Amino acid sequence: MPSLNLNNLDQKILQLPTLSVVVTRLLELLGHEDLTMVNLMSMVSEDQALAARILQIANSPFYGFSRHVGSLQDAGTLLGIHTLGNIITAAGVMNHFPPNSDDGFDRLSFWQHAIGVGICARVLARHKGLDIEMAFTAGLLHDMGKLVLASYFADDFAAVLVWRDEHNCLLHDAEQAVLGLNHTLIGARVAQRWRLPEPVVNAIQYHHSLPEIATPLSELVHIADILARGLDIGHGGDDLIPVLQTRALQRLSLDWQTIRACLGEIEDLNAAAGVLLKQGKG
Amino acid sequence: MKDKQHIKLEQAEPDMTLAQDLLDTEGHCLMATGTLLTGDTLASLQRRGICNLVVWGTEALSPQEIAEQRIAVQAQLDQRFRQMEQEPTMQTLKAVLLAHRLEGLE
Repeated sequence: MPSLNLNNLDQKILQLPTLSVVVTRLLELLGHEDLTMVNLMSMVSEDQALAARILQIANSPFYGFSRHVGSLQDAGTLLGIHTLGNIITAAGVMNHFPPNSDDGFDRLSFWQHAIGVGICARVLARHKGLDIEMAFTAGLLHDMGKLVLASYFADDFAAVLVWRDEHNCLLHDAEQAVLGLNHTLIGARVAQRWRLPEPVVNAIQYHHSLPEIATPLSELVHIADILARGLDIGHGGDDLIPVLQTRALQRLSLDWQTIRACLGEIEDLNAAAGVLLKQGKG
Repeated sequence: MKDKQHIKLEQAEPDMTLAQDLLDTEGHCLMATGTLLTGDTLASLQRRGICNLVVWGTEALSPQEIAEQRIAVQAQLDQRFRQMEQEPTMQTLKAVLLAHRLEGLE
């Protein structure tokens, strides 16, 4: 019998470790209008692993700065609070589930896929005039429920993997069959508890199955997940591809020509994104 | 023909040439475009967590190599889309992806 189910999900999630104290405090404060860059930087500097990961992301090709971002002060000046808030969200979760840890689930390939989805979402968002920073963060974290399952419910996850192999199906469908729930709900509930931004929580919950009225960010991440799989970027836990819900394309006014035009840009960014997978210092 | 190829680190081989700068975690250029890869540099890239590279094809692929790569890309997409034969939208997506991935081989 699996230990996790729909009835005990919330109770089990309450027992899970939270993000670092600093990240938790920052996520609480990020939406507040009176948060100043000085306060934000002062708090970040208390968490060396977070600070290192922020600099790593700030120096990634996504921001294309001509000079090296060498200090938190530099990062603050160059990026601004909105972008930093998104980086902190991403960095906080990445540090909680580091790419190099070994718990029987190939986290390196997992994060390669997650970064690929973040890049796809970011590129599509830019073409559609949507929030590119939030798109990257939501894409990066869309599958965090899988990490929660693999890390904290290892026996359940092992049973899910057996079902996936026996039934040649998506990990999502195997989770649903074995547990009666799947990583989208698990990820969303944990993200909610960790106080991640509401649009990100929403995208995590609905990226496989869009509701009738979905947010543009959820639709973007739904498409991005499928594109990253089609481009064979990383490995999210299965080698299939979910069905693309065409109304997501329609609502975002995305046509095939635009998608085709984005693919080269996605691959160029992804080729340089491996730097994000190095373990943060601190 | 000299074409840009996006490859995973495990597919990289000595004597390939970088077609795009590689940056380290500090944003410094780790290896510049044009660097000739060696066994030592590949090992170093692995230690630094680099997963993907863009390299120049050193020379034109022969018609036979192109044909083999086309078959490999097609097989990979067939595997990924193996449960989508009855989904017209997914077949269109597959065709878009295939066209993109074969583009560099032409």
